[in-house]
Amino acid sequence: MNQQLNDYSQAVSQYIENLPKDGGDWLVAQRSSAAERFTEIGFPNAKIEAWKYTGIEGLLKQGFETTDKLPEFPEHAVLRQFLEEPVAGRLVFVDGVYQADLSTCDTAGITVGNLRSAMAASDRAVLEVIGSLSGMGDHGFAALNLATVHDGAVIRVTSETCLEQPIELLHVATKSAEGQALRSRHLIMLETGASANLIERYVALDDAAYFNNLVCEISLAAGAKLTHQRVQLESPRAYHLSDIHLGLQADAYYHGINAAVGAAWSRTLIHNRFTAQGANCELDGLYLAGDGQLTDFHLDVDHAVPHCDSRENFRGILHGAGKAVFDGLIQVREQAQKSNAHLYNANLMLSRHAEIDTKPQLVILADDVQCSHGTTVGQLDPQAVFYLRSRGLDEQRARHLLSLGFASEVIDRFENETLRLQLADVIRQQLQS
Amino acid sequence: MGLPNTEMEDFVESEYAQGFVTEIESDTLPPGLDEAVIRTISERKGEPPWMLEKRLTAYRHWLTMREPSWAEVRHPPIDFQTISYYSSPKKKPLLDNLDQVDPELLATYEKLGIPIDEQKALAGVAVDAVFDSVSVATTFRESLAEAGVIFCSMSEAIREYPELVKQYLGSVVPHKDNFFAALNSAVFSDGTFVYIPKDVKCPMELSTYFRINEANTGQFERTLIIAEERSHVSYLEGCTAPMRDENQLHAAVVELVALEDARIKYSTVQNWYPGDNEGRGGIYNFVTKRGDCRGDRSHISWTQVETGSAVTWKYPSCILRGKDTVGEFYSVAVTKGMQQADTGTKMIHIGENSRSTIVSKGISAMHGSNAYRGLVRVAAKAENARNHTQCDSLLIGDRCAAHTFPYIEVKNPTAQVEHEATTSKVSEDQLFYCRQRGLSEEDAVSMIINGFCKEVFNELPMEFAVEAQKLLAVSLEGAVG
Repeated sequence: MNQQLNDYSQAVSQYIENLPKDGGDWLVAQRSSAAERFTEIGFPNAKIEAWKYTGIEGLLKQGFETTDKLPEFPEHAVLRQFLEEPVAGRLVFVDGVYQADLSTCDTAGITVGNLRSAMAASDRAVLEVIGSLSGMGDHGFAALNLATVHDGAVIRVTSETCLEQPIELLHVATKSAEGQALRSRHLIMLETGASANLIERYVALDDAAYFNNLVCEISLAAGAKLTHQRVQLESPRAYHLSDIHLGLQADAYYHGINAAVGAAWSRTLIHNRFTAQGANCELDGLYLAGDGQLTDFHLDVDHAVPHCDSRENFRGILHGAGKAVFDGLIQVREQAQKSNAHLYNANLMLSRHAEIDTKPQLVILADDVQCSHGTTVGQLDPQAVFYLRSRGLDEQRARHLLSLGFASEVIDRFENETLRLQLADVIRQQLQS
Repeated sequence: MGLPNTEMEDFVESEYAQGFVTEIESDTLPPGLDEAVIRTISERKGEPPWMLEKRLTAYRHWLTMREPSWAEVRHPPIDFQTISYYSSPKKKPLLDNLDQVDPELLATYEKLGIPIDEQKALAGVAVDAVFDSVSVATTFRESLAEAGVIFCSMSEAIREYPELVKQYLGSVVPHKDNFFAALNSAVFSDGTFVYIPKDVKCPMELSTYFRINEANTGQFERTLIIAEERSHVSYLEGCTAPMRDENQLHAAVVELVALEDARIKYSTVQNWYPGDNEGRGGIYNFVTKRGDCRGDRSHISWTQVETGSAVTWKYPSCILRGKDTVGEFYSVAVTKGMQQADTGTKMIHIGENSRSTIVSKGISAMHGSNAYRGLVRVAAKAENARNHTQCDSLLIGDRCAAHTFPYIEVKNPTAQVEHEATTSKVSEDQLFYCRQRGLSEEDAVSMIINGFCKEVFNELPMEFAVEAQKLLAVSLEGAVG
């Protein structure tokens, strides 16, 4: 492990040294301190509570490389992945590299761009936001991301702009990503009273093994509203790690709808600390884990001020030898009176070798609050299966139909119909395999 | 129901009712812990060499361990070399009857309401009173002996029933289990031993009162209950301690073994000195309690009412090894002043059709901190395992804390596991309803809290249920309204 840590540390310092010097001093300084932080904290291990059930040995063994390679890909294959609906703006990343030709944005009130050009232009307004919500990183991977960040989306919606159409943020992985560690970092900023709908997707064209190590910072100014639909459909050999940090100002509203279906190993952390009153955060999620897959969701909702609401609803389906980990922490600090926080996690186990480790947590330090959590692990109701069989469906189809019904509570939360249909299709296919 | 107000006032004035110290000469080892101390303990208790060997093995292992820090409790570090590990009332010539017992000691029992005299025959409770570390008197031995039940102190069991002790001691909680279990295995002073033979339903509820008396002496109780096939037993444990300013360490180990079709019900009311409202003094209570449902269809039920101690660290657990086994955990934990409790349970489902129920009610008031920490694990072979967990926390005042940390690990697709938890304060609506029916605010709160805990109190044996309600009212006095 230490050997590996040294290798990584060396690779990181080399990467920073080789960077073009026009990247702006400020970010280089940030990178160096993140590299130091990485050397200091190293990789997480099973002794760290948050990583108890999520092993990273497989990920480290792959030895993914930190290089900036330009991808080669057939354009039409990427175009096929686009949403059918008209969009207010589109950002396309292939193997972590921004594709200006494929990206569009001609709607008033939003500016989209990529981090790399912001770095090249030493755009302080953008660069200074980096790390403002995520810090240096709570674990080694997040620190690595900051130290070696390659590119990412920068989306800003100006004050009082209400977008009718969604913004699409598309990540495509091709076979040239094989063996690579992709390090993207997204900044999404909504100014006062703005409202937007963001669709973020991770898809793969080929069956490559790569490591997508992402950090996303989302800041909502007072009264801003963001609906964030997020679908992870990485290649079945991929590793995917997302750290999402939310900053909600007074009366801001964030609704995140997440689906984690692909990747051999995936972990999504959603961290939200309420720092202004009247904000509301809702998170829905669906995860599916089959043979050889590990899917992990970590939610960390911190009520640091009074009068904020949070609601979380996560559902998981385990089949084959799939393993899922769920950890949902709700914290209410001393002064955060009148907080409402509710979390629900349901898990459906369809097969003998599946495993689920779930841990909802409440840490409550204020008294005038309404907090609850509930979690269940169970299987399909045999009577419901029997009912469907008596209507002429075979056992397999009956079970798939019921599993889909279980998932639909979260799928229906996706506002975009294409996404809903696509997800239902993927789930059906996965269950059949 | 709450107590009438006059009675409440009495309680307020009386501070900690059980806070008195009995002055009896006792034979105490100087503070410190090394192999020589363990040899001395073993020698004083007249133990056979195999027992000394067990203690030394545990001690040597303990030296390699570190004190755990994961619990949601804060306290100054414990210096294990400043504690005296053995204290026994001075040896007296053998006594023929109660009259010859030191009247001071009897008076202490009177004050505590320990039923050591004839009156208890009517109550049908046999009491093995542990005064500090050595069992002083045991009653009802004869009627129990008739049924074949062995109910005696651990030291006596080591002397009289070495085979049983050798077979079962440490078989549920091995000395390597955790830091405090290792310490206990090395230095345990005394405790209770219960053996219920096959097909016997224990004729009465068994009960032990523990008292920590000597200043600066840790109590390291060791309890072992063995229920043979088709036997039943209900065991009550109640605790009070005199008021002392220095923190006292208590690290008990309780082991339960239930064989085929056996049933063990273990009830605890813990009311040790919690320290004053600024957090001075109070007992540190680090307990390892575990029941092993070894036989098919066996049943272990833990019920606890925790109102005392400055720091509580306690997770009565069930290993559901046999088929169709049942584990239950019912708990009320109250923390006020500066009290901290990190308590919960583990239900390890190994056998087919094993079922478990967890009901945990936490009440935090003033600066109290209360954490539920539980684990439900369903092993790959535990077909049709079933668990339902309910954790509710009630917060009184804006300086207190309530935490819930359930761990659920399932490796079998036929398992059904449910967990639900809520945290809130006493509902304004309920309070308003009671007030407009003419109840004072204090009575209303008391009534609502009792209702909140009812599910757990219902599981307690009659005598304890009454005591528990009284205790709750007293514990929360000054914290509500």
